[in-house]
Amino acid sequence: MYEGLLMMFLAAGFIGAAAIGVGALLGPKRATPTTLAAYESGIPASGTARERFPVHFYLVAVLFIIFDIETAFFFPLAVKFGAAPQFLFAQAIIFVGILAVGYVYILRRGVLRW
Amino acid sequence: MTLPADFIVVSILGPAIVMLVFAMITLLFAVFQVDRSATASMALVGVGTAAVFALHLLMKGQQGAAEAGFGLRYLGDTPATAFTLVILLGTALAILVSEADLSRLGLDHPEYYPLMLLSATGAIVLASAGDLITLLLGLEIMSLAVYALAAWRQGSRQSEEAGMKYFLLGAFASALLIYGIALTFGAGGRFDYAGLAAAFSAPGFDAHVLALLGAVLLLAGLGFKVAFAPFHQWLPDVYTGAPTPVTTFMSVVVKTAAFAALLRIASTVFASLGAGPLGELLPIMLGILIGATLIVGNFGALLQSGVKRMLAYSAVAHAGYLGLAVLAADTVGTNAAIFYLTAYTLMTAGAFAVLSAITNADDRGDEIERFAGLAARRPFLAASLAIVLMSLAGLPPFAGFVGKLLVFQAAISAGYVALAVLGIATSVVAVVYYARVITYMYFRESDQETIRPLAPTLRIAVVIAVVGTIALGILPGFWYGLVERGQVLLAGF
Amino acid sequence: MRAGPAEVVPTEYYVALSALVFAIGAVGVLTRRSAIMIFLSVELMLNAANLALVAYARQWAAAGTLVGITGQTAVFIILAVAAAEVAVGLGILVAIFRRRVSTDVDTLAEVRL
Repeated sequence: MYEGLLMMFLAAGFIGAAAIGVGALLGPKRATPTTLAAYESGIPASGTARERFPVHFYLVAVLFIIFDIETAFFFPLAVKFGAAPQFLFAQAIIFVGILAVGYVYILRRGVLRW
Repeated sequence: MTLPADFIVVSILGPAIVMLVFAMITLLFAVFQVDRSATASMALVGVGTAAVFALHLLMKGQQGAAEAGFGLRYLGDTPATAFTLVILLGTALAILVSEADLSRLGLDHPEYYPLMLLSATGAIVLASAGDLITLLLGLEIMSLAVYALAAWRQGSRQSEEAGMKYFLLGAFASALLIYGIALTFGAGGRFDYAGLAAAFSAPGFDAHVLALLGAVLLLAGLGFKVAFAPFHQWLPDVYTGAPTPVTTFMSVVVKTAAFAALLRIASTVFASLGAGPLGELLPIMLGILIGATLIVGNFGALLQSGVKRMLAYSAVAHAGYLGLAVLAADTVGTNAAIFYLTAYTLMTAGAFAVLSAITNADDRGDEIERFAGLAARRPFLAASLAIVLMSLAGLPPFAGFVGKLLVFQAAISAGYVALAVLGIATSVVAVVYYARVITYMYFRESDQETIRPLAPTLRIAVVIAVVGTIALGILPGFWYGLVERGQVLLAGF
Repeated sequence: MRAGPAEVVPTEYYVALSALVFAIGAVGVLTRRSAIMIFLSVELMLNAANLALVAYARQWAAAGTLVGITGQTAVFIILAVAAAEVAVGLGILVAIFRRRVSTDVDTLAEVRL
């Protein structure tokens, strides 16, 4: 029953291998600084990528994760909203209210100030 | 989705809602830079208000549960409200200890009290959970705030390390617990304890191995939180490394909530597995854990030279005594555990409060030599510490004695005589290490630096702890009777 | 216990996979030395639990138990828990890293064992 899936995997594997293999066999190999450079949208790469980023990036990323996940909680609410509109609306308002306190905290503590 | 008529019984959720609201109020205080002692007062007001709600529930002896929809339950019965009150007592004592020491220890960030209140909210939810998902939410709300508090002292390697260790092991324990929840759900098809217990004892039930695996993982996950040996390894390090006010909070509130949850699961889910073909395995495992905990905790404490670390190992030992009540897994055991945890909260908070008055400016200096001659220099502190330590050792006429008596009774009446005897034997060992501190305070000459004056809030905390320890020891019936009957004692309250 | 049309992958397969992922995560926690790798392993364990929950939820829904939806809801809640754990854990990690430029857990030996 999974023959189709197997065929897809085989085809995908073959195309991937062929693309790399044919290029490696037939393509010209010239090791110049330009061809060895990391591809950076045409802009010459400058410096190492393994720098330490300011902690601010992590902070914003972590905030993003939290608010992102919290948005996900609206999906089950939306699915079942018709069952008890007033109650679920009140619940959503309380939920957003709690989040708002967190948001006010973040804002006032200057986390989002760059 | 059909909504039951009693969809939200606000009175049952009252304590948790009040705590959450006050956590947010104190957080807004932090944002708008309100004075710290005002924040502390507000936090205490919140704890007091929540306690009024919980006391009201306890007096009514309400046996209700709030349906949270999706088959989830939030309980408002006597054990849940009694544990809520113990948690609030512990939180209040921790706030008093914190207020005295925050600025000295460099902990003076405005987020401190909001986090502590949030953690207490989680603890209340954990103690009132009637299903595994509510349990998980309560546990995580409680733990996440405590991880941050344990790492609170910026620039202190000790504290950061305590936070990191606690976090990594706590997250691992949560993962075990969550997988246990998944397997239990797989075996029983639901999350609420009552439904699971019914499913496991139903005639046609055949997923015994799966249910047992789930139960073992649940036990391991919660065993980490309550620090049963061999899952106790984190505890001495974390208790020692965390700032003393935070250790006070962890040792009383986290332990109470975790035991409340464990007791509830043991008396429903674990008990329903007992009748099955593999039923005897779970009590045997629990018994081995408890025996190991009693031995490791008491002998570990015997070997410590630092008083804070000794108290940490003693916390492990007390987890063993409380485990005896869990093993009994009946009403007698639950009531014994409620009483024991009340006494434990008072005496442990008292001990850590005195410790926090004696440690040096860096929150170090808990060596036993520091306590030498304390009776001559600071008679109040020495007498208070002596009383709570004697109570911790289980000597009459203090609360700890009654607590131990009750758990030994519960264990013996449930048929675990050997473990009860082990408990009594290790109690003798316990007397040795507690008495050593008392000996230093009363019979050694002091060559130590002077101790700073006692902060007023710390004095209040110590007085509450000592008076409570003595009162519960002399008049145990008042609190125990309230818990045991769970009925109207004050008409018209 | 197993219900539904024959083409459906049996629940046991999902659970076996989840047990495998859980075991990989557990071994990772016990053997890795970097706090970040330990943390990643914990996330692996959580996701194993999620996989098992979803599989069981489908099994119980197919068996006609109405409460089966809770398995899916639980996954949502566990996702939120995991995200909150990441936030707190990374916060502590960053605080430690800024002071000692290493997340090797073996350097966490300040507190006497």
